[in-house]
Amino acid sequence: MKRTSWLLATSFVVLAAALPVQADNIADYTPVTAERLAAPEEGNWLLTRRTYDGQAHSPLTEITTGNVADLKVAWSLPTGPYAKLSDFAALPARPAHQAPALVNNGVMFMTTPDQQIIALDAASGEEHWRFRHDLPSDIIPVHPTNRGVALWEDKLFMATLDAKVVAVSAVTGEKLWEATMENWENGYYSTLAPLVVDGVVMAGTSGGEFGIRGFVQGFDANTGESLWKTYTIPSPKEPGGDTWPGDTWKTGGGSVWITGNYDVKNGLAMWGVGNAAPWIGDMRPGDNLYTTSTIGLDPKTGEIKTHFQYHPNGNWDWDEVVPPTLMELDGQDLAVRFARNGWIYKLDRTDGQFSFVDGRPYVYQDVFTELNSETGRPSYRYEKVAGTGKRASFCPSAWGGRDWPGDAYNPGTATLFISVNENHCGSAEGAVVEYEPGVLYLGSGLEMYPTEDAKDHIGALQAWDIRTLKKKWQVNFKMPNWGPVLSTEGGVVFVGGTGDAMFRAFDAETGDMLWSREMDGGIIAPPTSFEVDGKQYIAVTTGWGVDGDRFQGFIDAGMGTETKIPQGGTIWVFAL
Amino acid sequence: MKTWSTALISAPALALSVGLAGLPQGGVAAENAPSGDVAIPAEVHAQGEKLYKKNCRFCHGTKGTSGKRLSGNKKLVDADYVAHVILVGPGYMTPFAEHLSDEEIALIVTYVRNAWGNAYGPVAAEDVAQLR
Repeated sequence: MKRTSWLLATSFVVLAAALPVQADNIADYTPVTAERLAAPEEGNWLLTRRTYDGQAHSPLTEITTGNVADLKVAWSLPTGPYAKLSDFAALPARPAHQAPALVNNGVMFMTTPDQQIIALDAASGEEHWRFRHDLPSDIIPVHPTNRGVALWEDKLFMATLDAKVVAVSAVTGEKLWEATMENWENGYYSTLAPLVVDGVVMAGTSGGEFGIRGFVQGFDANTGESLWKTYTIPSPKEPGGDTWPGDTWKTGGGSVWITGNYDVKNGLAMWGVGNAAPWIGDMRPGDNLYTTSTIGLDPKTGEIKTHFQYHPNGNWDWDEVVPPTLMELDGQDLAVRFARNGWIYKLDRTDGQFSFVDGRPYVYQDVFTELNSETGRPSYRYEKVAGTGKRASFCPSAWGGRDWPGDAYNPGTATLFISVNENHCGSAEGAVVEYEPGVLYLGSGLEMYPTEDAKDHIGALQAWDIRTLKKKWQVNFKMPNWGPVLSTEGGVVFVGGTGDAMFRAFDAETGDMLWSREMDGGIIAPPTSFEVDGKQYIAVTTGWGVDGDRFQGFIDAGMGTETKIPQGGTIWVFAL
Repeated sequence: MKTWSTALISAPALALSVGLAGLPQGGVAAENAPSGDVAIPAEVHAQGEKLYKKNCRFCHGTKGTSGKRLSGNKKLVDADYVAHVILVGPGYMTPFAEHLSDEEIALIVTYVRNAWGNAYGPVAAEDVAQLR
């Protein structure tokens, strides 16, 4: 399988020393308060998915289905030059841009895979300052990316590939503090945007492939002092500890690598937890809480107040790291999740306690026979469960019906929009694996193949009526779709995600494509929308790599094709 | 596309291993010492080990017992196959062709074929070059 080295394909400039300082302090920066985060101004995008409920829906209406075809480029800015990411001979994947453009009253913040934060004027693209976090020279990032910053008061927070959280002044770009979450040499790293609630900066850790013990950690926004650290894998004496045999909890995985949502009403931070380690369930018999679950934490104390597990004793590397999207619908407080395992889960979150309401598949999935109507617990087909020395094939493959790209929800029409991938299946056979800190701890290979129907399509954009859990429309793409979605009140849905480097706008009600543009690279970052001086803008950063590349590699191997996807690495802002 | 037979051993490697059979082994740390009666010079083994630790350890482990298991892996008898895998990077393995020289790959192949109970003899840089 050929893959173009990104080192050769792009003209990266190595920075020998610190970034040249052309810093310009931001005048009149508006502090980000709890009130503003709970109810942000219409023209601002202060959180990864705009609001604490994770809906990624912009209330702006200047851009509509009637005029979106007139969208033009307002400005663009390459995010380079880049620092050399690693001394390692070859990264396992091209670095990717996966951060949304946050905007706070005309100030935009973007991050890059080489751990830079860029502050810009949102209307003109003029840079205010850049900050770069330096990584250890011998680090080997298996997911070289960053998913953005969190805002609080006059500070920004970024999680790093060497498992730290850094705080930076939003005004000057100077580092304020740095906190170490864990030892990166033991396989811990962090790619997510932190989440701030009432002055507590929360971040989680990646590394489920390395037999870590996952956690969410809370830090004091002012000082970086660690306030609490809640493990996603309980020790034997903790609640849920009896779901792990022997010492398997110590290397149980349970990574947290996508930003949580916050249930303002119930005061709960909802975090998604990844797969258990190693990948094969019979190596750790038991439900393996809280892997492949959503946990609801008290942000002040980190205490786990509620949880819901989507599939116990996981076998298929179906990380359930995306938190549920929260909404209130017909008087009911709901949490809705399109799980990586291929099923939709409608949960009730009344009084901060999860309970199962309803569920159904959104893609073809052949592992579950059903979900228990009371608890939502799945029953498995025996032949779809791999074991030590037991081979199994299953659909969808490890990448699931959806992976980490965020969905978007239009509360007015109760419609949820999501990028999915269909027509890919996987196989696995377990083999005993020894644990070694900082070494892959999988217990099986990773096999994936496109099905016959993949010739018709793999990627798709789906729209679902959340009241009825019925699909309203679906647009298919020949290529896989790795695009986070943006919904707007003007009735337009924006998404990138495909390897043809297209950025597209769809009619939210019908799925008709209204506008598209070929970009300088594939898009796997979330699009956002903001307003400056009464004008609505759409912002998205190109920058293909990581999982998009890997998934395409397997598709190519299965189909005998060779797909070259332009990498990009540019912030693009559009307006009418 | 070449098919890989476990019986295939590159001629120079076979000649070298036959020629060196019976010579005393070099002094390297016992647990990773070259095994069997094929003598790999200590310096060669140490260089290969260093390259292995930098480039391969995080997937295959210090003892070759993680990821695709290397310790006791019978496919290692085919030196060309091992070099090919490093060059091309099957599945989700990184392809190293552009990032490691023939010499470096030969050292790594020699190391993995002769550590942890494996004893398959050395590989020369020219053998790797032929596969590119």
